[in-house]
Amino acid sequence: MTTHPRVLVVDDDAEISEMVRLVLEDQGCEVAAAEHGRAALDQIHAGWKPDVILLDMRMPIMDGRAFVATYRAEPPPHAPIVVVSAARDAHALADSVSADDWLAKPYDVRSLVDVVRRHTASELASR
Amino acid sequence: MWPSPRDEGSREPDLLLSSILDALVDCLAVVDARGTVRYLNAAWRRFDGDAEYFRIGGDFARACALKFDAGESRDMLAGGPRRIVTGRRQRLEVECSWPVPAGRRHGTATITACEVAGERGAMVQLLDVTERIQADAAVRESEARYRSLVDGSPDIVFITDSASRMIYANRALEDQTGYTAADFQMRQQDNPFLHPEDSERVAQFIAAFVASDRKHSDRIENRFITRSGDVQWYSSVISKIQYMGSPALQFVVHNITEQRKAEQESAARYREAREAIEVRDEFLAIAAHELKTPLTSLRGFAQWLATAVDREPCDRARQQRALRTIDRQSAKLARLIEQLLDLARLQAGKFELECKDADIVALVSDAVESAQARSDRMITVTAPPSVRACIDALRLEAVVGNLLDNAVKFSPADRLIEVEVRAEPADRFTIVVRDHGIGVPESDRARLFDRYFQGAHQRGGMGLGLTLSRDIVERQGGTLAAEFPPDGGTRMIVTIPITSDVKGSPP
Repeated sequence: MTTHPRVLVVDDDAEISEMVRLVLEDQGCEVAAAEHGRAALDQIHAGWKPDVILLDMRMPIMDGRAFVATYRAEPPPHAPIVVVSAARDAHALADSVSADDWLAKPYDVRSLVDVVRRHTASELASR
Repeated sequence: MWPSPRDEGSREPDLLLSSILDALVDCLAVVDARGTVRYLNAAWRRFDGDAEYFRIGGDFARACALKFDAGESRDMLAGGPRRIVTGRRQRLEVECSWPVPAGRRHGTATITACEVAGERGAMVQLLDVTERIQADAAVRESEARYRSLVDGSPDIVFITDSASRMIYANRALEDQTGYTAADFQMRQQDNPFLHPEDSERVAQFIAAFVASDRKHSDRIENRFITRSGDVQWYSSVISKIQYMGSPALQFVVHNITEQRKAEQESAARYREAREAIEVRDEFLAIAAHELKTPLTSLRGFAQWLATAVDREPCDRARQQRALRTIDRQSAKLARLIEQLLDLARLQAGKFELECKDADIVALVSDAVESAQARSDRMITVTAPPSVRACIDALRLEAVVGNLLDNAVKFSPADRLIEVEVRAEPADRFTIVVRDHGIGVPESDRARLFDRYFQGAHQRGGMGLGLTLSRDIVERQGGTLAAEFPPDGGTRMIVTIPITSDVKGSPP
């Protein structure tokens, strides 16, 4: 990656956000963390436009489902959303909110890097 | 006026009248004032038979004595014509019987006044009622047999006539409902016995059955109200029968209250079991979620470290942070697993406390220290220098740790968490954990200690902490209570007697 793709990590577990930041910064990404959907929207409204959103589903204040609905109701552009969940069936959960991709917790850092690369590459190409 | 072909002294016989009288089925005799037979029709002569006790010009009373069975009624019959002639009575009815080769026959004699050759006389009309009496007896006998059968029946049996009046009920009706047939001399659908919510359905069912060409109805289940006001469930079958010679409806009514109760209870148990399975499934999903979360960062940091360790230049600060996180997350996993094991032991009834003399203040300080290390929160402790009690120190420390974790989870990062230890009065100690967070909504308070319960806040966790904490405290003879001060936040209060007997296993 030649540019610095922006990754927004939305997760109420600060340790996970910290780990994701560590891993993705090593890959040359710019990483921001929000502890729930509302904080993520605030960040986006403040002008920090992500290239991909890594979204946990089970969060206080505003959960993943509500975030997707609100975010997608806003005017484009919309970054691809990757549902990252520890639920029984992360894939089905992702489908249920029409997410672009999914990642089941706990995951290998390699698959984390892959999923981000996949979506930021296409995002950057279409810019 | 009477045709008397065998009587020389009478007037010309009236042949037309004679042939009419001879055609009668009833036996007819005419007796004059002296008791002499003056006329016998053909039916009487057939009735008299070859013996010919009765003859024109013969004595009626003597013939009666020969023909009929002895007894009071025969005497009344024999003297009947004389009583009619001399007395003021116009009419007399007498029962009588007479022997025949095949047994005995029964009749009813009606004696009425008439005129014979210008004098007052009597006409005797005899009707053979043997068949009718036998039929009545048969009806009475079958009815008696029916009653003896149904009276002993454990099911209620009652019969209604065509006007829906109850004309018979067995003993079970009174035994089971306190009512007797006499209480139901009204239309079926108006009676107080039938549950008002069922009466229309029952009335329709009966009407449809009566209109059908079926002899027995299907089963109908409905409620009856006993005299004492109890509601009982019954299952009935209605049959069309002949009772006392008239069409009637027979109801056989079986009490199914117990059966229904048992069915409902087993349905309720089934529902509870299903709900318990659903709750457990839900819990397993949550537990898996809770275990996967620390595992995610643990694995991520470990894998990152594996690549970062060979990299130049080495970022020692970041690596150390990663290692500390791995340590914290593995400790968190261990605590979650301990909770799950405690739950399993609790459910298997194998949960045992290991009580030893311990310093409560030191124990609370340890719990506060590790909670602070987990959360970087300001936690103050107010306590006397030392409080000693015989308790399961590890588990009580877990309880305090759980209360502190909740306080951290449910209050803003800049708010103080206060912990207090008291040993007053001297027979017990109290630990209070007070936060200034969001508290617990009124609607959730009753379920706060329920197993697997999670408030609407969705802050994670397995919903086990408070359940297990309360169990641990109660097993040591103590209480765990929640208070919600008017200025917000939550006060969790653990109180445990110092001198109490320690309960190690469930009662």
